[in-house]
Amino acid sequence: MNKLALVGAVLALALIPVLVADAVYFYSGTFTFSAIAQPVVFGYGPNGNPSGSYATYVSVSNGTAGTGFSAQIYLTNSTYAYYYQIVQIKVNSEGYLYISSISLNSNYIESAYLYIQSSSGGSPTEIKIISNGYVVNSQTPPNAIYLTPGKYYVSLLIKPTNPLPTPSTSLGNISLYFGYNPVMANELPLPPI
Amino acid sequence: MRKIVGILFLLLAFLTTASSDVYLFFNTTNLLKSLNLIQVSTYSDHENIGQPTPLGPISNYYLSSNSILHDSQLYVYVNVTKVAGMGGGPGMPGPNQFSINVSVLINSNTQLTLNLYPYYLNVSTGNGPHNTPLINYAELVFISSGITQSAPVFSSTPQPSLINSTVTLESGLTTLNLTFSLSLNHHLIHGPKTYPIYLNFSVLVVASPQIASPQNQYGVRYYYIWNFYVQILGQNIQTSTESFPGYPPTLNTIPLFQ
Repeated sequence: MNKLALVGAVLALALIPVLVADAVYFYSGTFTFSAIAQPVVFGYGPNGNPSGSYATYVSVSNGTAGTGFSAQIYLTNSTYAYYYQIVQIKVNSEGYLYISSISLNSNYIESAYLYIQSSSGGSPTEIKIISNGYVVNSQTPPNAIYLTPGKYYVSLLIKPTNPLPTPSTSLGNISLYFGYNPVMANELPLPPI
Repeated sequence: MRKIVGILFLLLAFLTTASSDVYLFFNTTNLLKSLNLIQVSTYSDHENIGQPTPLGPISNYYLSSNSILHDSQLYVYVNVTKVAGMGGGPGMPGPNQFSINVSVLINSNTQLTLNLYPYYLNVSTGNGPHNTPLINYAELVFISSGITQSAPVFSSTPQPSLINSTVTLESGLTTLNLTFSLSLNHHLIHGPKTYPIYLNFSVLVVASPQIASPQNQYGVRYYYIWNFYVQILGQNIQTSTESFPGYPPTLNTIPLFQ
């Protein structure tokens, strides 16, 4: 009798959820992807051509898609070292370019600045990226730069920590993460964070 | 509690994403390596070079400097300990003209263009200001493979002023001399007293590897500041001070920056 009562109670409990759930709704979402032109394409500037005249001092490669660049910079003891128009940014659609994150892996950079300038001239926009040996991740004012379609050149100014070690020694690197918002100037931290 | 925090976190994440539209991001890396561009030989402190000034009958000096461009700045201390005699007449070299071998530049490039921008010059006897010209001119002289290039940094005529100059260095060694001239007629007067003359000036040097393409001639530039400190212990020198402060270079005023 007790066993029958127990089995009955278990069955009753199992049926309760079915009885109380009288309606279930289902939804679905689908992401469909289509390729569009890159709004910005990175490349080497007039003085960053890896097979150009300045390759001994600076050499920029940008892969096949132009989604970034890698610049080999050769520093020497100096108060400042300026690498003029070494990176090109080709803007296909207007938007706001900003630096979302910076990382520094070097003990030889006291300060560093980026200068972004239209290929047709005009005043460049200065972005301080390294100050007193530390990255400047909080730009004041915010550094989103409005870019219209066209070509822009990036220059790099570095104040090295002197004296530098023996030539050909690796001095480390600076990594920049750019954000490009084609709609508004809001800046968000982007991966990697 | 953890669930609530998790839900709040997700909500915040969605709120942030919803407040903007599209963000594209790009990763770049600037790799850095050291390179020998230009070096200067070093002298031990207070080394007695013992060279007489080429135009002075008695003068001698010792030259000392710290280690120069390794610290991005060239400091040169020159002490000419004795000046005597009035020297030649008009048009003739006299003991008030000095040419001092300062250092040796080592250029590891095929060619290097140096643009020199003096931005400070002070000449004084250290005995009070009288605003009387003490020097006629000052220049840096670059000598390499028998080729001499002069880069004037100061001239008292027609108006006292600092002067910008450009020289091109060939690969290899270049001797760097400092040449200047005291105002002979007004300051080297007869008398028993001896005063030091201090000549200090600073030059911003922009070094650019010279490339064939004119539009890219200044694609890479290295900036140096050279400071010169010269003390001449002369006899019978009238007291005076004159200063020509220019504008110390800043990031916004550095020449050839754009």
